Amino acid sequence: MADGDQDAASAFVRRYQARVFGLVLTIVHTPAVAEEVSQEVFLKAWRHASSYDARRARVSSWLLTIARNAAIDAVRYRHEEPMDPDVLTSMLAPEERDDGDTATGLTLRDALAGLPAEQRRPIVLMTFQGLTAREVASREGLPLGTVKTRVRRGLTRLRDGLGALP
Amino acid sequence: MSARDPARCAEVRDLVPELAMGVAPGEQRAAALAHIATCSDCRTVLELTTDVVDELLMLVPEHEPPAGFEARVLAGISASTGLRRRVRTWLAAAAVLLAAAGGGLAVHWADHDERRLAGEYRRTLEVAHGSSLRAAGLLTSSGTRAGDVFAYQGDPSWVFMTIDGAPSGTYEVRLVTRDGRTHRIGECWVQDGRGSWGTALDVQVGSVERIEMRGAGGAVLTASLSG
Repeated sequence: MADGDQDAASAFVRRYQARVFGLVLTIVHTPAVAEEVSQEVFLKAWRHASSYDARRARVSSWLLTIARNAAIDAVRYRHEEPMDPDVLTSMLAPEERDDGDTATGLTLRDALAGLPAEQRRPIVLMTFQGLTAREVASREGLPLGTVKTRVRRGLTRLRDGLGALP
Repeated sequence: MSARDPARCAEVRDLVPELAMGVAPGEQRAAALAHIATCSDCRTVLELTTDVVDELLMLVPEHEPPAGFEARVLAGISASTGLRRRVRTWLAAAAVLLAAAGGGLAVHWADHDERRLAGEYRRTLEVAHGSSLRAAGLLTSSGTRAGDVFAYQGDPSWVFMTIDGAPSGTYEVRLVTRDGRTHRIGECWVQDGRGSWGTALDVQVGSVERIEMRGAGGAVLTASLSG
């Protein structure tokens, strides 16, 4: 790999490694597996760099989407126990705010905490465990339409909460 | 823009949450994305919802990976890049073999690592009598390697280039010969950062100093054949 490539790759990894590893570890929660998956995430990003469209998403969003999908696949493939959604939800609560949070992040924490649990829970299950609406419905013993309505309403409220930012 | 179909828009928006969270069932996803490609209102709804999901992913706490993580990632990238370049070189050289009927070739490789491969090819190519085959890296203006050029001296002479990692678009391809003259020899199309192209030449390869590819956006790739 040419020197210029090496420097660029280094800088890229250093900038995003904590974000990627943090997300993967939260979903996979075995540190050794999380490290392996995180390495694969950067490899995938490097290979598909030409498909990244800067007009469509921030680099961090694109990278974290790759990370989320890779982590969910790892959990499924290795038959790991996914994290308890209530534990996961508590990590997203306003009390867990830290220095890394942006204004948007803080607002989102509040908005998420303000959702009825019946809307928040399927959103967390689908976003962080990759469950489909049908799988959530089956797991919670609810009609599919009910799950979809709750998720749609919950995301709309979150969107409105973020939209209220200056 | 297609005619408005409120019923279709309603169906698609019903799926937007799942699309944004990456859990929409395959067939429904494909049909919905096809609609979204033509409907700016539905596209806006999807984009706003995707923004929310992206922000949710950012709420998870950061965590530094174990020591040595960066080095391991770079080693993985290096290995995959090196392997792909060697595989590409093999394929291009195989194409040369097929085209080199009646010409034995002495093979010069720009890269030390490929001498072993060159030896194997030399034995194979010594069956017929030879001209020269030169290979050189295509470099961007910042010195990054973005492809390879192969130049064959024979009857006819030809040049073939493979590009990987250059801005997409149409490139004008030129030869600059040692006497300082520039010869425009054609155009090469690069898509998704990749492309390949070749043409027969009516100048001696030995007289070519360098090959330049100039993209419409200002990108310039250069391969030096001298030295």
